[in-house]
Amino acid sequence: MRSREIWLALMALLLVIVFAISTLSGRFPQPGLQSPTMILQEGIHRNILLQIRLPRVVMSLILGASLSLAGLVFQTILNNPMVEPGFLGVSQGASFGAALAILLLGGNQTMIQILAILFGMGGLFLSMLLARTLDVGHWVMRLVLAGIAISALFSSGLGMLKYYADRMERLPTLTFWLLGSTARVTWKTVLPIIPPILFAATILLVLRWRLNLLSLDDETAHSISVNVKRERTIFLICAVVVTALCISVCGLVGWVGMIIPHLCRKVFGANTRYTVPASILLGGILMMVCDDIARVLFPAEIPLGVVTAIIGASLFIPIMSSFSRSSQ
Amino acid sequence: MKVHEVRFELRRINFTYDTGEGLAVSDVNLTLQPGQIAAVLGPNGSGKTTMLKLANGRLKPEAGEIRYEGRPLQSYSRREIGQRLGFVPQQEKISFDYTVQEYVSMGRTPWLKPLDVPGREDMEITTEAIHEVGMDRYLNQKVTKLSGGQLQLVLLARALAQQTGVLLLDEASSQLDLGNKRLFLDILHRLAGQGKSILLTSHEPDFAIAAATKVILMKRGKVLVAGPMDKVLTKDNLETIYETPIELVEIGGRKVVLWT
Repeated sequence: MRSREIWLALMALLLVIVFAISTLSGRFPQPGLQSPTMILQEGIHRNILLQIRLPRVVMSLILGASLSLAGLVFQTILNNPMVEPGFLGVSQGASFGAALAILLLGGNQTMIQILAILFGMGGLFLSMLLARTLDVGHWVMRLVLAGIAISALFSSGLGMLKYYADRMERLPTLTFWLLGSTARVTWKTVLPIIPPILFAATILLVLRWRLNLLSLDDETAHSISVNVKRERTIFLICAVVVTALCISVCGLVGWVGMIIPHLCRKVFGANTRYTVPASILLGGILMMVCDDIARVLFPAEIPLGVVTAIIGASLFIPIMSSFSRSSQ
Repeated sequence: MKVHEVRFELRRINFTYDTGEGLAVSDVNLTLQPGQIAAVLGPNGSGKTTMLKLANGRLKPEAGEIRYEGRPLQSYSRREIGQRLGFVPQQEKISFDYTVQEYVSMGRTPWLKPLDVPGREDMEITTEAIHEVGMDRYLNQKVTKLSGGQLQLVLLARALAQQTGVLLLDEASSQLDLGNKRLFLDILHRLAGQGKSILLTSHEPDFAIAAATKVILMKRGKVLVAGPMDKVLTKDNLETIYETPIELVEIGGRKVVLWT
């Protein structure tokens, strides 16, 4: 019991350390870690740190924490350890909404966020609606299949948008953003999404023990006084909000939402009382590290989504094989 | 506190499913006193599970009334119902590695305020419930690693952690081997001895005979006959509901059902 709290404290400490290292590392003037004294003394270094690097590190932290938190919520509610928002039309829906706002509505920040949330919800809603009409397999299987179809629909919509986008300016921006990147993040794009994300994350943190109850069969949950429909809606809305807001700024960054909650359950067990804070912390830590790799390791920046996909996919394989072993 | 002679009552309950396949259950009457165990027996599709869902408020009857200690069930809040009626499902799909203790502690939910988590007292009640079903050794075992029979005991423990006056068990003995069936029976009788009222469904007449003093025989959504076990459980009645030749043999003072 106690040991899990100690682990959480250690992870929080690690988060602070990784945060500090991330803000101090970059490629200017030379790749690697920079000395704090130089930053304090020279204005240009201070400016780079405060205006360019810091918003980016903050965004990575928020991004990783949000995606893994949302992934955990989806996995628990659907009672399936192998799903993430990207499976259910949420991510593609949100990115379509954001792209729509960027291209057609002039890229107003608030508009991007609102459309991302609306289309993210729409994606989830459509997936659930479609899943009801399908006639194969069990509920989760149907939901995932429906999610794939709805995601494909939104992807093709995105394709259309890209086709019409201005080839010199908007298209490269859109393409890079869709690969998942924090490269163009500024305080202007990060600050507005912090309050709503904090709000939704706080609700999820406060209610985190009750997330356990939603992994039970509806019949059972009902019998222990859980208002299943209402509580599930609250959790899903919060998860979609944090996901969509992150996508509206960083585009599609995959894998994190599936892998991190899984790793957290390996260490902390299934109880969401511990896995919720653990997913937030570990997601933040890992995303900051991935972003450091994306911007520091190579002379030309690689998109963050590519880094998480490489790491995620290579972790997915051993997790999958251990999963099928344990369920034998 | 006023002691109610009748703790739980189903009065002239009627219910149809939306699919329009006629009555799912009709004119069901049942009273349960503290310490009483009643069994609902009937072939598959006879309406046993529907009746249990009606009893725990999951389905709303079209006509009739469900009463707990003289008050209609609707007059209780969602939380109050969870503090009064415990439900043990036949089985449960579990995808996550909860420990037995964590899983059983979820039964404390009706007693928690909306933002609470189970505290020290809740965990003591949880441990006691696990002890009650003889699963102490498995306190920190993962529920996903349990056998079907052990899981049924854990599901019972979760309902016990709810500390309710009434327990509703849906085919709760179906996965148990003989030894565990004996254990399960002893637990049920002990719980009845503590004053709990128990309503269980079963498609094993032998288990029902051993467990309950009251029986309701159902066929195609209707109650064929209900009453004390020794009066109701006759060869004729059993043959009527199961539509197969049946022999009732008495061995050591207990009736045993044989089919050929």
